[in-house]
Amino acid sequence: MKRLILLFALLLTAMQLNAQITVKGTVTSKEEGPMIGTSVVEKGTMNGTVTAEDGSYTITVANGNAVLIFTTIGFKTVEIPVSNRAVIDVTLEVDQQLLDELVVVGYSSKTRSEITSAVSVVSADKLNDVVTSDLSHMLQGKVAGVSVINSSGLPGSSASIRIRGTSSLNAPQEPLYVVDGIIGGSYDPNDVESVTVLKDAGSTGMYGAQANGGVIVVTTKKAKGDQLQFNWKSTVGLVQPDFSRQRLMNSRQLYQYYREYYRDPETGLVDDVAMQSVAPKSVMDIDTDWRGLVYRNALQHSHYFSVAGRSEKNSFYNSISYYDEQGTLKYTGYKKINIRSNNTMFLTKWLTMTHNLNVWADTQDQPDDLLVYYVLQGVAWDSPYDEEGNLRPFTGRTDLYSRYDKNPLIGYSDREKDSRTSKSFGVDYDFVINAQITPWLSFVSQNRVSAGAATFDYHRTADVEYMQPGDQVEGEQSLDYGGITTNMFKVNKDWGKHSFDALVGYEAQRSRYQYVQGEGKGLPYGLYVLSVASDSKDVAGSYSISGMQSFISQASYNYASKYFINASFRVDQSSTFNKQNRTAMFPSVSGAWVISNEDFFDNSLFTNLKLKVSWGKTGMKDIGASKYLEAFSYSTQYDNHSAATATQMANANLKWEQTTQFNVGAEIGIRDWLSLDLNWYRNKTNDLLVYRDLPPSGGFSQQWQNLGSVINTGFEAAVNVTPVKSRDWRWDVDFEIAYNKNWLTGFGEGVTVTKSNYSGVSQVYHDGGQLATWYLREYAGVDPQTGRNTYIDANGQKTFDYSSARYIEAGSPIIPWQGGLSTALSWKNFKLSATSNFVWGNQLYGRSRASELAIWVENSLLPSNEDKIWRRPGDIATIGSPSYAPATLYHTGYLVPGNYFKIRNITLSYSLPKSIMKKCGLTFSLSCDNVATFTTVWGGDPEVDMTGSGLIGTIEGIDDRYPNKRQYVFQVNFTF
Amino acid sequence: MKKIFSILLALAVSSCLFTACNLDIAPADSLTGEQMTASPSGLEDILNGCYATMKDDTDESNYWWGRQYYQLADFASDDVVYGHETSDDLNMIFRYDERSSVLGNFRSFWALNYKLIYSCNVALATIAQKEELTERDVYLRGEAEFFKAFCMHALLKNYAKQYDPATASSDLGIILRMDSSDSELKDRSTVAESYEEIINLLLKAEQDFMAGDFPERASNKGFASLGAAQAMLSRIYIFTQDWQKAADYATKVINSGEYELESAKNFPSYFTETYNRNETIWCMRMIATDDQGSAAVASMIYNGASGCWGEEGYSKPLLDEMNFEKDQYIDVDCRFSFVCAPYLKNGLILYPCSKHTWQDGIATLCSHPLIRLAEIYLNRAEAYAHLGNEAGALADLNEIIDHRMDYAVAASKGFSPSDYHLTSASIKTNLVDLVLTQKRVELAFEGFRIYDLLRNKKDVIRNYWGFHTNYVNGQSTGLVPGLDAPGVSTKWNYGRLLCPIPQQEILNNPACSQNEAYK
Repeated sequence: MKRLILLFALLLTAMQLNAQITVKGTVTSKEEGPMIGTSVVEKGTMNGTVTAEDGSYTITVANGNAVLIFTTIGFKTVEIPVSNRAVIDVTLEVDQQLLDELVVVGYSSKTRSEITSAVSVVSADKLNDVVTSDLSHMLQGKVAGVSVINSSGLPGSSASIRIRGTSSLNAPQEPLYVVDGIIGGSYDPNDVESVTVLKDAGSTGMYGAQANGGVIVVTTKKAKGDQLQFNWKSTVGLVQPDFSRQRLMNSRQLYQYYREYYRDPETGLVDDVAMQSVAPKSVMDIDTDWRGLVYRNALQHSHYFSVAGRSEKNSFYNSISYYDEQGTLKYTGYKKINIRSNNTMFLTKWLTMTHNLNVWADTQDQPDDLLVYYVLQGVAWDSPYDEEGNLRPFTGRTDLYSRYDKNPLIGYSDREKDSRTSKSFGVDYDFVINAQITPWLSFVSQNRVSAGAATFDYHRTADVEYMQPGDQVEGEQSLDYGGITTNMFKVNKDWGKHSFDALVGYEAQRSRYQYVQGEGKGLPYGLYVLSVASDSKDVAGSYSISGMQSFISQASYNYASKYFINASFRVDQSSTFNKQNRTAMFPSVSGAWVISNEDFFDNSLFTNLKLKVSWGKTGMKDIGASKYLEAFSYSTQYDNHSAATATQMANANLKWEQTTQFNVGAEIGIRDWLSLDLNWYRNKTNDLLVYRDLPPSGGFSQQWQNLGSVINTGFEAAVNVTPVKSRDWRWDVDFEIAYNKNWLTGFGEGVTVTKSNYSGVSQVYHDGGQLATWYLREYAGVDPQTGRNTYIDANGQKTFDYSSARYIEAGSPIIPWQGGLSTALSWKNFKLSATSNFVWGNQLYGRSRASELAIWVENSLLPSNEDKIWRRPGDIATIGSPSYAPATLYHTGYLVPGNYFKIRNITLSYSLPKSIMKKCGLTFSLSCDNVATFTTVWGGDPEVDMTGSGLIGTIEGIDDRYPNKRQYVFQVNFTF
Repeated sequence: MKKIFSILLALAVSSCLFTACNLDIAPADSLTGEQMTASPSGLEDILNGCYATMKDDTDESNYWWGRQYYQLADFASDDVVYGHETSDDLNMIFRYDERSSVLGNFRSFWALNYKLIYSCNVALATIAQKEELTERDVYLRGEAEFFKAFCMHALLKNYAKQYDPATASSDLGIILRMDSSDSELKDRSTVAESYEEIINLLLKAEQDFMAGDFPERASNKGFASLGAAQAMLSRIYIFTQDWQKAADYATKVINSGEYELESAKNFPSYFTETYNRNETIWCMRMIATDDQGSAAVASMIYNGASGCWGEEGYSKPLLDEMNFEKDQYIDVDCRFSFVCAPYLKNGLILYPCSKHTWQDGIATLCSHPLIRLAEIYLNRAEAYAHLGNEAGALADLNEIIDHRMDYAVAASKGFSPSDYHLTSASIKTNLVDLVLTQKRVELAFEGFRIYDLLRNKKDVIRNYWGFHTNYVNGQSTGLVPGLDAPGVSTKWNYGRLLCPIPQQEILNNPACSQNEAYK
């Protein structure tokens, strides 16, 4: 039948040939200029063409009454009657409706306008300004309310992420990662299509007990359009260490400061005779830059190739990525290879099957923390070399000025003598079936099996000075594997202005981790494996299993795209807890009102106005398995006999940490030049999982308990503005700012939880206080008369006696204000973009301020410009006389504001014009990551790890952190 | 296609059922309390765990039990030069004025001993539950009682005032934990009550060791034994000044025939294999994998291997008491072999110590002798001195001297044994002081000195240069620091010679009293 009609149509066309006219013209748009590839079709016929690179077209139509249809993806379709004209130029308008992109919110996808909770989306093009092997670094400063702390420059390390502040004392708070709709999984940053950050319980409630830290949903790429698409991207870069404001003294500076040791505090005179008996002026003949000897300008390069395509039966995306970064600390580095294959088969009209496979392997050459430490302990007056220029051992030398008789370069410069390498390998296989049983009912089964293996190999020879005595070899191998299955029925039904969808399902997950580890000593010359160790061979190995099962459900309804309501309910059971506390329920409700879709609303200026509100619960369980049991550990021995030590006190009542979240928000869009997303939230986390101090006299120092609550409240604003948008010019500005405040409650009167590090620096937690409030002896500056440190004692009086100084609470390292600013300016095919972020208002404990002379000679940290040294009576100083300054004091004088502003990235890129490249795209870019840091912190990087169950927010003066990095990267991106 | 679909659905559903089964997952490397009671070797394993806890790393690896046991006793005393300022908490063992209740070493030692006491109580409770006791059970009960008493004393001598008959019934001792369910918040007992409980436990242990039998353990010096319990009683009675009983128990040990003093030839190698030597009554058995490396007991006081810090050494007064540079003793007194060659550290001439080293060829490894026979002779000598038995006391001291002097070398220098023997003429002040001097020389760096000073109400006089004073690197060391110099002279009853009760205890157990000096 169809054929007949076609034949008939052809016949008709042929008959009308005599009346044909030719129409020419150009198709443009305000956004893209000349529109290439726009389809131009004569209405009601098969007659059509496509515009050329300059947007021009020529079409011959049946007669002067014909109507032309102009269609291109992302723009509104236009129908124009020919009306006997020979030239028709068309300007296309962006279709806002189509821009209403699909947002993946975990178990389901929703359009932007359907979202009823606080959700932020970051697309691939915004992520990819920074070149890194780990996604976490890419999110820095890009999502309101998400703090990304990048505390190490070691290649291959990942940053820690906190969404909406800190809500726990001891339980981990990293967000839950969901890759392609399934919890967990792996991916390469190059394969990421978009990242959705779920910030409130309206959307995270669906993840129940795993969602206290928020959820990050990663979606990997799929084929777009029917044509085969190739993409090749390569980067090459130069990486430098970035020591922030940590400056070391050179020989001359050290001499000047060292003299202060010989200053008589009473007369103010320096005893140069005594000084020179220890450090004659000749010490300045040597000026060793210890850092310079171990750090370097390193190289980075990465390559990515993908091919994607789609046919009626099949859609695929295959890619391979390779990443190679040398560490700025010599002999460290990271290499990774990742292969992904995403395949969807459209088996029948109602059944699709997806197989996604991701395989990766990486290797990391790590430094020893001690090395970083000893390098900072070296002083400029000591040379690592002897007269012939060979490395000289320091052990036993008495003519050194460095604190330790260890030459860190010995062994370090020889991989045969000292090496630590970790290698890992992982594979994730996703298998998803989507069956459309009826037009409104479908069944979805999402399954993933994962396996990972890792090895760690370490050895050193006996002459490596900076390590413990003797040689050693160590090896560890681990395997983890597990699976997750989610099986859901989904309903989707629209009638009239009503739209309803829902899902109900069951999820189960189980994983197992196991390891074996061995070590030994007594290595023969030139061999470094466990088998050859002749002495002290020791092995360890164990496994752990965790499991969880859940019931999930969700329902959404909207009326006329104006009123939205969404509810979810999840029940989780976890192996972490005792039987009676194993089950927990997580409900959530959220709603939105799109005012701009109301008939009464005049949306000539405000194109989008939406109010949203959500309430719900989430939980946290990840404190490790079986923490409720009384346990005797067999991980030791005595004289080769089995030995059990009491390691854990029972707590049968241990249960979930649960957060009740409330969020109100608004979205405002003003035409296509401004969009604003505002959110205010209040989250209360109850039954905090606290690894609580006990009186040690009872036999145990700590126990896992549920204690008290923390309330986090704050607001977030994200603004996107496009002030300039013309044919050649475009300027975008994104700005995010977030404020978070927390206080504790429910601990009970007089109950204070204290966490201290080994040196007695403490943080306290109690009702009315903030999380991690510093609790330190109160410092009152340097006494101008004597040059001694002064403190405040219990009676509020000044005292010289450190041990009688009172303890006070003094701020917290938790970040209250933070945000990001990024901007992009493009002109024709050039684009200049910059990203920055800031943190303001927290207090860090930083001994690197070097406010005591006693520390200097140990590590040559140069005092800051703001510091002034006390020399003689009457001096107003920040640093006291060394005559009175013992090395180990801990007080409020070391607290520093942790404020900083960092320019994360500047990128300049150029894309070859489409007119030259036809169907291909070629972009060159030059970028600099970690351009500059402006901070109040003197010393190491102000980005300090806020994870871990001990103290957070400390920067030790002589810290052993791997320095952050600055990198300059050239990138080529080619698509065809 | 529908068929395929139903197969897939069935697969998916069955996978649910398969994974949904069990959420009761037990840890792979631990047993629960119930399982321990049920395990045939549970009791033995818990006791072995106590010994292991003394030698194992803690979360704060520097502050493991053995390191604190020695440092608290020796570094606080007049035996040791503090040669290098450190941010390690051992700094505050030397510098009494900087001691505070938040320091990790004081906290850790307190917590570890109570953890051990708890484990002993669990072992005792396990035995108490048994309906019928075997000889092995009885022997193991003796070990538990002994071990608990030993740990209680480790706490008592560091955190409380030394026993003074006049004030012991009011001075604060330690918190007593009578059984494994005793974890209430309560105050410290008195010193008298604490000693009473320790003695009570040791007497029970003595009975149980005699009544019970467990040959494999009795023959291993790494485990407590009848000899250890009796030796410990002689030590405790010295502390409580019960001289006759101290002498009686010392005699029991000496006359048991189980132990003998090392000869001068063998003693220099004693610390490399304490567990095989006849002089050892009880040692903390460490095997090669237990090596603590740069956190070992030796690492601070020894400098003879890479990774050893060698920051502390013999004090001048101690070397003088040893007659260190006197020709008569050079190459004769075998104890000089532990004094390492002097070297310059921060402007100080330091004599490191090589006790606690070189077991199994590992510099920092040693099975530390916690009780050895020489101490028992010295205990009896001290008891005899107080009881007025001068001949007995001198005989015991000379017994040790006979085993420490190489008389063959002495002869080649023209000296005879009598030139080394102590006589009434050797007594300068009184006989007790002579005994204490000999004990100082024999047991230097073995965890005794500070207590010997304090229980005898002797001031701590550290009149030598080191960082316990206001010494600055480069300063002249020609003259000995005066008694009025900071850190040199400390009264025996100075409050900060006691360790502070850790802040963690005070904060979480408000009933517990702090020592006066730290309030």
